[in-house]
Amino acid sequence: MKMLWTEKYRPRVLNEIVGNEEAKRELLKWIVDWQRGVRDNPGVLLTGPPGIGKTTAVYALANELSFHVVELNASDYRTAQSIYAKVGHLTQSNTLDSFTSGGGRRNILIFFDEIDGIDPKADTGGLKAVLDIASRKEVPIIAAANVPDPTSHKELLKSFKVIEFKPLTPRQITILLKRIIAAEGLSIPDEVIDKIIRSSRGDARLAVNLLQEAAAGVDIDFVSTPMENLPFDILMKRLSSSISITEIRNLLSSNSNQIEDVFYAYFDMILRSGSISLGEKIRLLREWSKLDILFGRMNKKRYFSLFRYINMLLPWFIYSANRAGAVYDGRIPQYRLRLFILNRGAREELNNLYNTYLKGRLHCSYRKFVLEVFPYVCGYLKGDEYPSLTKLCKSGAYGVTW
Amino acid sequence: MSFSRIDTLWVEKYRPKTLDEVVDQEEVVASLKNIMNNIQEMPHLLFAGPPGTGKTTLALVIARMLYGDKWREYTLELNASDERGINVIREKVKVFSQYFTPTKEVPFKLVILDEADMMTSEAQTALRRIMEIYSRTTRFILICNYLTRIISPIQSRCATFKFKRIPRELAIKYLKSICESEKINCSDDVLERIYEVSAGDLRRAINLLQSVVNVSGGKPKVSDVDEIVGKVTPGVISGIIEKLRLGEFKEAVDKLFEFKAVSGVDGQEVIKLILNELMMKNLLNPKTAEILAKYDFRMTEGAYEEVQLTAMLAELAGAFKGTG
Repeated sequence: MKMLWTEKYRPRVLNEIVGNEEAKRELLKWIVDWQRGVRDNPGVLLTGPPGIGKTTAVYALANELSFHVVELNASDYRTAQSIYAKVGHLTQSNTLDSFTSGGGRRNILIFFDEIDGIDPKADTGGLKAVLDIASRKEVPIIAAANVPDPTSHKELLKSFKVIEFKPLTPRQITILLKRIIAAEGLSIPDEVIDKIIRSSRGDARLAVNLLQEAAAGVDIDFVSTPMENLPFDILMKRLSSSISITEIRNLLSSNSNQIEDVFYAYFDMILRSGSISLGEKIRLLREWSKLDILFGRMNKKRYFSLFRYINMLLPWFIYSANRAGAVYDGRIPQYRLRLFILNRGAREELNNLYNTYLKGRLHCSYRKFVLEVFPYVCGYLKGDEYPSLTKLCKSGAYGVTW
Repeated sequence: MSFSRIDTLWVEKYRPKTLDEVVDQEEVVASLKNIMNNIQEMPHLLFAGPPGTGKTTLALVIARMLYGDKWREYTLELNASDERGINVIREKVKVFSQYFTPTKEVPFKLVILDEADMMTSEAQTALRRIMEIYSRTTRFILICNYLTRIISPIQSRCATFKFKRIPRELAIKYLKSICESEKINCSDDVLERIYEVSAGDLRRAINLLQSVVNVSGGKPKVSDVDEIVGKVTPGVISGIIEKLRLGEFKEAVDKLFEFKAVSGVDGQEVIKLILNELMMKNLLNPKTAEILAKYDFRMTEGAYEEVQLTAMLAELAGAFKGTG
């Protein structure tokens, strides 16, 4: 099996880690102080987005200072009970471990990775157990989190020493990539490197992964870039010019907040397209309307689990619409605009007409008035009082004028 | 002319004010005369029948018979299609029914609930108890197109009257009398044509007549009738269907959304209108009916109207063409 470069080139000592110099220094100082008995904080909390070296720093540190890391991450059960069962004994001074600590045995470091992933419900008391074990100050404890929550991590933020890791700068990513390129003896064009730097957005792990894919000959345009949030216009352009189902799926999943807009924009494109035949339109619109039911049910009945089917089906529908010849021309979906903006004036005037003059005297409902009375009486309207309605009647779309 | 004078509208201006003026519905009128002979014993009434056959008119006639010119003081007129929820019943109807002491001249108050079949079933359930509890002080006249949409506990509390479509001779006779009052020369073929396109709906017939007179400057022709029909509600829908039959799908969609945008009718109402038109055009068959039913259901499920209506038109176009 081919080795992942993120593992192959994972730094073994702190100095090899690119970037975050300040954070590394602070971390090293804290652990050295701990060993000397200066224990101001019960533990350290490393914060920052994924892929920038938090976990790597912990293992590099342990490697350099000969610590044995006991790790608990999101894949472990982390209720109070299971945390005590796994690491509780390590902190009790009367266990066998402490007797051997003076000898050849390595010191222990407890690492709670992804501590923001402790589930408040499923992992009952987990966070409290971490704090309790740390408060004994017998074993160094390091926790890591992407985004600590000010409420649920209040105690943690207060008592632990917080060290912030930042995304890498483009220059730092370049250094990292160049190092691997040299080690592997590759020749990667500069524009590909630029692309990798742009799409990795300071995430070293992603940059290394992208480099490995590019080296294997994959066009990294088609590779997903997580959390990519494109402006609607660009998203539509990329979707409609795509002929790869994988790319469409990736684009949608990284822009899932815009899925509904994409859906309606495509609906409009199909409708307006001059190049799609009637038969094709019928077929596509039928698919679209089916998906629309899912949207409707999801929103009306709050069945959000339906979203997974939308996620599954929409890429295929977009793919087949692209193949049929749907083109995005950058216009706002036509009917939405027409219904909700252009005719708002007419609707308001109609309402006004009914409520001012007719309600209570014309013995029919508003609905009946609109359908059965209004079209016959357009001609009585004064243009200066009801400009939108008059214009509409005169256009011949609906209603009789004379 | 403007709407500050409601009798601008002939449907209101020539709305019958007494039982004897009412067009047709002889059996209904005869029974009502009996009931009105003994007002104290008047039951709740339920008028059912197609549009434009005199249901609302008769309800208003009864209000006048009961209270004379002061009828508005003692009558609550509600349109259930505008206010169809349970709150209207709980707030407006209940409050109106509650506070009243019957007198010799005014034995009870009157609630006219038009388009009652548009009420939700929850609202109808709320209504049924109110009808019982306050029957000493309040009488109800419920008006609907479809009797089946009124829950049976309410039906069983009412004397039900079924209205029929107005027959040709009587409708034309009435239109003629309007022409005479307005001092307009209307040829028989114009009135015949108006009757044909309005299909026993007297309200539509009178509206058409008024428009035709206005458009023609007082000298209406048959062609004026046809022109106007294409611009009013069922006519617009009919035009949409014709476009679909010609394969002009895009134009049909544009026309529909134009209509929908102005009128503000909801998607399910549009389907109802299309259903009626297909029926008139003999285009309603198992295939087209199933298409309409499918999309009607989808909208009940909360789907987006524009997408569904467009897809429906596409499918109808396919069905007319024999594809899809």
